[in-house]
Amino acid sequence: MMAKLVGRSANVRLEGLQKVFGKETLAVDIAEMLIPAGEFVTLLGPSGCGKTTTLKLIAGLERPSSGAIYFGDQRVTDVAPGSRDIAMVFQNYALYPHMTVRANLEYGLKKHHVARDERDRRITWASEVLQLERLLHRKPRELSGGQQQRVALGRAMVREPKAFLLDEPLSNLDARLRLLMRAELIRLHHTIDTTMIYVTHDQVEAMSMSQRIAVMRDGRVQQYDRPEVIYRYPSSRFVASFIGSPGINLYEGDLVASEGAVRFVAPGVDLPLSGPIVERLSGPAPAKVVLGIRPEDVLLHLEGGPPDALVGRVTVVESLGPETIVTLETTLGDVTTRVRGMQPIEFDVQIPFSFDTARLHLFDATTGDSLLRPGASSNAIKAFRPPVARAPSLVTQTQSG
Amino acid sequence: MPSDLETREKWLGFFIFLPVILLFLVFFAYPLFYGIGLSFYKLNTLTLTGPFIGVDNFRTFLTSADVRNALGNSLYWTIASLTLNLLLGLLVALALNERFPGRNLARGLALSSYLIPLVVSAAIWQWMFNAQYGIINYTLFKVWGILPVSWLSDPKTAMPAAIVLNVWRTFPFVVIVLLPRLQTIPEELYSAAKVDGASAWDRFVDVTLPHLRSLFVVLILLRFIFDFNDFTTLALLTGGGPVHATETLPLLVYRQMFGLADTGAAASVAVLMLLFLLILAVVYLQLANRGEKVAE
Amino acid sequence: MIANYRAREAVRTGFIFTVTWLVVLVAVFPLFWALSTSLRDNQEIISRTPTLLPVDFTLENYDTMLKLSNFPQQFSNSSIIAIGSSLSVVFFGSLGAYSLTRFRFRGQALSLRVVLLTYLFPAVLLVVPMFIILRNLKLTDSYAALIIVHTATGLPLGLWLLRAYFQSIPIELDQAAMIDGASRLETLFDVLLPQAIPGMISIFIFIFVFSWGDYLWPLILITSRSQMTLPLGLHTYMNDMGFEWGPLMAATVVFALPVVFLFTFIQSRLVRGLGAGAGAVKF
Repeated sequence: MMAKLVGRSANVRLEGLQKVFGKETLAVDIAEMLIPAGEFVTLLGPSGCGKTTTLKLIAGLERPSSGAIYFGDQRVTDVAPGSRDIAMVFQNYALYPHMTVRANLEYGLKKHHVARDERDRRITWASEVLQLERLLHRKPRELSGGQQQRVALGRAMVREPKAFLLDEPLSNLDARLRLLMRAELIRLHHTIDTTMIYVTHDQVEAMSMSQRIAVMRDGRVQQYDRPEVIYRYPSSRFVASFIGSPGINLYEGDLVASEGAVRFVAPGVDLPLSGPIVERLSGPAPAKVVLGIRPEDVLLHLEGGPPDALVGRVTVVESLGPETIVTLETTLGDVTTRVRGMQPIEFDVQIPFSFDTARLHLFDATTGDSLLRPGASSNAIKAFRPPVARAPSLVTQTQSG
Repeated sequence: MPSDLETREKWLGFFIFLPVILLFLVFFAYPLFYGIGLSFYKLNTLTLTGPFIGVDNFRTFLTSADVRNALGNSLYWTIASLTLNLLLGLLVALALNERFPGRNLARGLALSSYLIPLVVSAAIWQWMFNAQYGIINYTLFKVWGILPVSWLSDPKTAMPAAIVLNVWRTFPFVVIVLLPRLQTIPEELYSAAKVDGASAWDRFVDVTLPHLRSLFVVLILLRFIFDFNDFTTLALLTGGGPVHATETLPLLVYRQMFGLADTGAAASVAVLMLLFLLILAVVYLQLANRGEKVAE
Repeated sequence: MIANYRAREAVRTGFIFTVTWLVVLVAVFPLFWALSTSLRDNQEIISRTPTLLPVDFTLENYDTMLKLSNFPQQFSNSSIIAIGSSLSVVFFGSLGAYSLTRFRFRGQALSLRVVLLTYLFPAVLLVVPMFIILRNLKLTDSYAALIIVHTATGLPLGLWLLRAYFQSIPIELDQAAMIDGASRLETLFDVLLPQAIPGMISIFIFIFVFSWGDYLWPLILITSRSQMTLPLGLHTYMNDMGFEWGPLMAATVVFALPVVFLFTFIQSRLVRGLGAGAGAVKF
């Protein structure tokens, strides 16, 4: 019996939230952020970017230096963690070692004065969903990592909270288990339909599980949007290089406007920008720019290419099975590309390649901001836009040129 | 800006700590200052009345033979116990660090003398030191033909006998402190030294001792303080006799208070002890810290 | 220098083995001798040629001891006081350690150092004023007096050890409990204390042993025979007329029993725990 909890779910709103540690360190600085009810939102970023602190602020484990937090219409900034009706899954599970699994699941319910029948019902439900029935009488130290993780999840689930907070719950699992649990979490969210706020530094996790990602850096949110948008239209150089593996190719150069066309000029490259790209340029282009192109958008002409194609010398070939990653040394710098299948490519061979000009990214060399709409701003948070149901990607592939 | 939650918690934390602070103030701080104050009076123990005499107590006792005797005994007692303890404790710790059959059992038994109530140990040793029937005299005579010694009634042998008891009882403290540290010294350091051609003595001096240095500093300080302040051991074994041969400062304090019924004098001796310890501790720690910096 | 490596190792191990067991022998002998003495009759005790073990076993000393000088009463007094002090130290020590490790308020570090400093002070200095204070409060000659002073003496050690224990418990457990809706005090009782039970047991035993064997405070504070504790009682007996070694040794054996029993209980923990704590001490 899977109960849908959507009615209880609340949206979470952060306003002017700031947390200062010590005298000067501004760990979190979020002007505005809205996490819609029922959505799976990930705070993503490198260590020290403030994502865990933000989560703790939402949980009430840390008090903000200034700003406010709202659950729905209720201002919870001064409310104790136990009274916010949230549940949290810790990176190290934090299961009560001296209690059985069942007692661990029951503890929060007892503290919230849930009646015995209701407690039993919820525990039975959660144990079924997470397959904990046979483990109920064991102590945490008798369980494997994966089992402990499920108990931690169960402890959160039985609370039927307004929001789930998850702090890197998968980092302590081995690779195989991590993949399994990722799928579990996605399935769980679909079933329970409660707000989930997830913290991780692993962009693959973020991309695969979230409906919305907030990429954070130095306490601020760089971009907050759906995964497809962040991937296709990164708002800054930082976001572009943080998401995607292998990472995006980046090259410094100049933008030159002449004879009605705009061209990207760099050592060995003189690339006219296509119409759609030029249309997306927001505002006057600065002289110094950074061009970005993802490996999958670099076309390798193994059978010979157009005469004006760029040429590079093969320096690294990584055969992964479903695809091959090739790195070329060029006048522009190193170019990484990916091709399907296992290609017999030899080292030191010169191969022509070209960029899919519809998929270029352009960033200001000084500020790192994207020069292309949408998503031209970087530090401030975008205003909340209602999600366009879970529709397939808005952006369709276009031919180059 | 700390919110209500933070302030409320700070007060809770303080409130929980309050009983500890109260206990400390009432049963330590207050008596301490009260005791220091007492030393400025000449009080009769039974009636607890007497005139204020300022520093007269101190003047008298800085020159009194009693105090000089007690101070000498205290230093004898403390330094001898300390030295023997360190040597024996180190030896036993080194031995217990090795692997041999029955080691765990040996470890438990070797350290058991520390936990036996002092009254019990004192009584047993008194019995063993007994001049006529004691097992020690009997064994000495049987094995080495040594004539019986009146251990506890002869002023010359009373203190050494007491020191034997003290070392027997307190060396486990040294072992308990040193052993865990010894066990964390990586085996590779010894292997590397062996390969470098170091002898067993070299390895002891160059690998083992440096690891123990900081512990020795602490041990010397702690054992000095504990032994210097110790009242019960000697009170039970010899009562300060014979003829004050084993009367250390703490015993003198007791005799002043209950024997000579002069509470003020007793307090003044205690204060002197305190001052002595404080100065010693400060000087010692300075030297120890400086030594450490130079060694690096 | 024995060239053969194996032979050298064997000699070394053998030497250490011998030395250690020699030390063990010396450490254990007195209590063994007390036991042996207590089991022989007076004739053997005063014989000029004593044997290691009694020739004729007898329990008459135990009989004598139980009958005279209030031994059972004193045993019970000592027990009550020791248990009372140990429980108090565990209780107040836990509260104090909780407040020192899980809260932040001014003067924490200072409080800890000052509290530890009390060990520097000669007990005799405190004895004089404490005697006067307790006399004015009419608390002398009672269980309360001894429990109070023993608790006050043992609390610094309790705080020190329990604080180390609490620090090793991850703060995420507190956080999980807070999110589960537990108040600060509920967190202490439901989550932290169960974790700290080994530490609490160690403290209980240390304070018990200290209180059980303490001679100084009963000497100062107790005057009536019915309130005496064992250490005081034993020593008084030794100064009595008609004092005999046999019953005394019997008394010491019985007196030492609880300690021996508790000691075997925490044997390995003693070496690990105390050593770690002392090793970290840096005034």
